[in-house]
Amino acid sequence: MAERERIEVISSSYRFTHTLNLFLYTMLIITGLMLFSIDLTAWLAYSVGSPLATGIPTTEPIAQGVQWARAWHRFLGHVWGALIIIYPLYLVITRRLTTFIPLKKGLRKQIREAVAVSKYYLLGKPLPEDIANNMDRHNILVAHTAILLVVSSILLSVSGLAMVYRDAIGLDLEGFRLMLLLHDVGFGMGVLYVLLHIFAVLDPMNRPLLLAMFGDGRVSLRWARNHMPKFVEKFLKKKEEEERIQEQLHM
Amino acid sequence: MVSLTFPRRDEGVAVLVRLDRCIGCRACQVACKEWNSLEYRPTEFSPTFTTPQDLEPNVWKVVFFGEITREYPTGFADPYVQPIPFNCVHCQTAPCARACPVGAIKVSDEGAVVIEGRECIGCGYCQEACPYNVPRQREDGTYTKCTFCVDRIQHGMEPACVAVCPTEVFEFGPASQVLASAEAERAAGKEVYGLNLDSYVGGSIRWVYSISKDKAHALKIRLPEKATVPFNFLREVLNPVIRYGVVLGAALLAVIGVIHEVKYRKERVKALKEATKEKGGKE
Repeated sequence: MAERERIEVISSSYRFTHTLNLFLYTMLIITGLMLFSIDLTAWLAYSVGSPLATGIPTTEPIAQGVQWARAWHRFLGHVWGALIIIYPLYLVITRRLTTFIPLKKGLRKQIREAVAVSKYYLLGKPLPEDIANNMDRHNILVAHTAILLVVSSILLSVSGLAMVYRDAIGLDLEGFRLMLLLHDVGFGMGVLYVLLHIFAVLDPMNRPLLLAMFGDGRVSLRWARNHMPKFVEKFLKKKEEEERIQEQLHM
Repeated sequence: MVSLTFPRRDEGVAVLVRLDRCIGCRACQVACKEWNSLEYRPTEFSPTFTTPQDLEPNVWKVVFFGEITREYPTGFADPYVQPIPFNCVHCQTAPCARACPVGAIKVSDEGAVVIEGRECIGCGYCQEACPYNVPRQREDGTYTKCTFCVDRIQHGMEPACVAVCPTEVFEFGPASQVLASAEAERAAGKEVYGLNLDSYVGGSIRWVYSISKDKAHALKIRLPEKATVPFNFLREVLNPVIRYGVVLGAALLAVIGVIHEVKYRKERVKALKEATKEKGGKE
């Protein structure tokens, strides 16, 4: 395989889900922020609510804006909830969930890799050779931050649903209070994940991956060999296997 | 519009509720309904005198009846029914007003905490934040509660419930004066509720209760010892942590990112120069 050749590292289904998730998550953050921190977002609530309140003289623009955001937050929450259930299920069923593969390594190895990758991202120190040579599609920090995302998503979706269907499930006042707190905790964890994720993808070394995510999902083989040698090894092996089968079929 | 200013403790108005004087006639409960044009509904039988059983969207004041046992030094004990007229206690720094995401809960200069119905979006955060479980949801989804009869107060009148009480249970007046009366009650050996409460409610409330020590446990029927909601308290702590944490974290990561970017570009230029040199040398 020529070094100039490009290989697919992000499938089209993943790119579609990521784009949809990006849109939904952003909208959920914006609409949720109006309930979480109105002193920072009153300007937005006012601009949204002002035209709405014009037609209803008994309401206030900010109240209308927040009500609008609240209604959308609930609707988009359902769509997002469906997305984060369906897509991971698809990945598990089709055995394509590779994010947590680095967790199969021993704890010592995980810690060593996590420290090395953190040093790279924070201090710009190059990875030790043995770690760099064993890098799969995702590094250990991706797996760890994915756990953060999973926990955050569970907290957000469970507490969100419980609050929306409060009367139907018979949630009492104390339960509602707990759910609201868990929703905030989930939001905090989610925002932490988003910060770390954006920081990592904007790193200049990861630029080809960022372009692949919003492009055709492919990176150059040369780049992939340097950054995810183990993955390339598996990819080429699989490709050879497929080619062999094809040849046998044509014989 | 969403900013809040709470009057100081000794500013505005307050009420001292002398429970020893209460005969449980419920005139205050009826006056509240009358003045605020709150709809009546038929009462139901229950094992207590309290009717309705709790606050409702159309019941902003309820006289609770707590059955207690009074013990005398002679060894004699008798059951006693203690009425407790209860409505929103108008906390010093009302948690409901702090929790409202649209600023629909206003605090007047007099210290009255009032839900502005037309601004309410029905999220229920006020009820969630209230340690006394006061705000109630109307059928239209909005929340409602006692207004301290702020409309009357601002026209020089007493709240409706205060005005009708036949036994002068309620002492209404400037907060400084009422607080002084409450302190005097305490000095006279009475149990006083509402002067030294948790910081969650601002340390005090504007409806202060006093009762004789032997009947003091009746207060527990509707007035919690700890005037706080732990889950909401945690939310209030978490809120600035998330807000400032995000800003600081983003700023820090942005600085590191920029350093990386600059370093990466320098290295790339250097590598390109070296490659060009090598190429030139070979040629």
